Amino acid sequence: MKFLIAIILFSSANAFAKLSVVTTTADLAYIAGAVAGDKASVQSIAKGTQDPHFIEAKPSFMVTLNRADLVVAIGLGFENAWLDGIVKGSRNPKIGKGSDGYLEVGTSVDPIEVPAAGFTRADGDVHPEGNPHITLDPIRDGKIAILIGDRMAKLDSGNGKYFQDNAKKFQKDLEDKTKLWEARMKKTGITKAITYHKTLNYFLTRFNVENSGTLEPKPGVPPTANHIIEVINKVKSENIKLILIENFFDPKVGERIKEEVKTVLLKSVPVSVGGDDKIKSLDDLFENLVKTFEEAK
Amino acid sequence: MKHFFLFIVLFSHEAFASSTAGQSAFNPDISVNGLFLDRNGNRGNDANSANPNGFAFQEAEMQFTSDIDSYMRGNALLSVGQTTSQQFDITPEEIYLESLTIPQVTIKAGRFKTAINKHNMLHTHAYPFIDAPLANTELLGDDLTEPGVSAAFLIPVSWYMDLTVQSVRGNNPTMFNNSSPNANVNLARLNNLWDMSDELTAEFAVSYGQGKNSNDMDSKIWGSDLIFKWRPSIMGTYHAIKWTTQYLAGVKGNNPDSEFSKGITTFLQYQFDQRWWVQGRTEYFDRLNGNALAGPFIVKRKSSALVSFDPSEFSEFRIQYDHLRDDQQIAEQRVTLQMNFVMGAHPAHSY
Repeated sequence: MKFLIAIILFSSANAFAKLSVVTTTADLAYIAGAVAGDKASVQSIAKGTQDPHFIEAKPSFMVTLNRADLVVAIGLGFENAWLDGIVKGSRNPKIGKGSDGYLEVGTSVDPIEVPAAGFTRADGDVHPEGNPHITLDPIRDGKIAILIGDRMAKLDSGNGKYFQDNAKKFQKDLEDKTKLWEARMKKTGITKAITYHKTLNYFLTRFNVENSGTLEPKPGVPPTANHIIEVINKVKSENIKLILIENFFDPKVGERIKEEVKTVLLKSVPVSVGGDDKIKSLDDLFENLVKTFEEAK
Repeated sequence: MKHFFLFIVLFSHEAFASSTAGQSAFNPDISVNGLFLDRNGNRGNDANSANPNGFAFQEAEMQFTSDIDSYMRGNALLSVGQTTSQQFDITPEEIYLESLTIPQVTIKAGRFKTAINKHNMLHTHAYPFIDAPLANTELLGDDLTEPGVSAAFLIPVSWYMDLTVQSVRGNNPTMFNNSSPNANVNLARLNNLWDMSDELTAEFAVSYGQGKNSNDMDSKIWGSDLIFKWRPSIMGTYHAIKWTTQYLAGVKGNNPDSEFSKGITTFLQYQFDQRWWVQGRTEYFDRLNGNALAGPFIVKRKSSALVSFDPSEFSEFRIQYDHLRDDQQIAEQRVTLQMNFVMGAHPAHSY
């Protein structure tokens, strides 16, 4: 009994320490970090180089979550394969689903590509609530900052105004930069691109570029020879200039297309903060994507 | 009057619609696993073979998971198995409640897979190989799944340390089958996991259990697991390596001579592409009675190789070769094909 009491006391010992925020992805950690400033600690479970669909539920993440005051997740089924297990294993009632310590931002930022009724798993790895790669849109990132700021203010009212002011500043900054990126993207004249997965659709939609197809025949299904022939025909017939491969996928399949269509620019790109050594912020991430389009024009 | 009836019909329809829509949100997550085999071995044509040749329905598992209320989560797993050529039975493999709101500890009550070793906590569809390790099969029969209570503490240290203590009613046919009431089996397991780097983890667990057997004497069981897992941070969906070694031993009290059994299993799993795994396993098991000078009266050595193709997270096709040396003159050789699929909202597997 004394043992149990000691454990419970230890767990509440840091009740007056600064807020501890754990996010599921590196992009969310970057946003939460901008909101938190020096008044909260922030860490991410997934690394920018990892495909967040397939993070393994390492028990060491339970230790991280055990000490968290707030978990920020994308939702929309993005973390289904691993988050529930580590939240449960953390044995931290503060961050249970439905509590103030658990925040899913996806449904609050108007997700795209919500599938029509009647889809099944035969359609691939479809997310019933919409495309979960929401942080690839700078405008939605601003809204996410506001959501995080409000929730942190609720949990730490003493620093509430500080968090909310930071969130507003972050949102304004990204909105201003988006206008500049929009002008540069328009100048490239590129209106169509192909990607490996539908990871970049929020970015493409924001900057009026159509995703003409994916190297995956269906979400989550690896490319097949027949499908790649269809993609090659599409690239030729629609004069597509750019194929973007998210850098956690094998780029070899893109090289097969490049052999057939020499004019197309094939680029393996990071799609998250920390996706490679040079991408240290969301600004870096979007700047790199815009530059890739400028290179392809 | 007509309007009144119309109002009642419309109102009741509305109420029914909202009620059913609301109720469906509270339905548990449901999944069904199907496991089918095709075996071919040099001992499989014997009518009494434990592994007869040909197609076989291995098992179907129906799993229901849901929060019960603000305080507890419920989990029920019903297993459908084949008893004879035309007969099937349904076994409540696991049905338990788990606490949701107690800091640092998860309390579990019901019938559940005990924490005697890592393998014993796995459901059949999640086995790393098609069959269970020799030591688990020989010492525990199918497994050690019993009704009782469990408390799993997350110990506040800088690495992952979990202490699980359990008290269950022993019904296991091989080790813990005392018929008297309250013949409980008490178990403890201490599990540790260290992040050696972002890509490599090391896990080490020790466990111990004790209870009465049918001879009205003590049975004791103990074991350890040592597991290394490597998955790169870059291109991590394409490659991984796992190396697992488990030791399981037990003493079954008997008069005049107690039986002492021990087994060790080590296996390596290598993911060489997004959907492909190749695996190898080697095992040793022996059992001796009190007369150690006479040597063990059961010795088994087994080697296995497996190739797995996983079209998606929800389906898997595996082929396994086994070579077993035991007390028979000719070693058993067997090739088994397995089809494993899941329908519905299956909860994530543990690490």
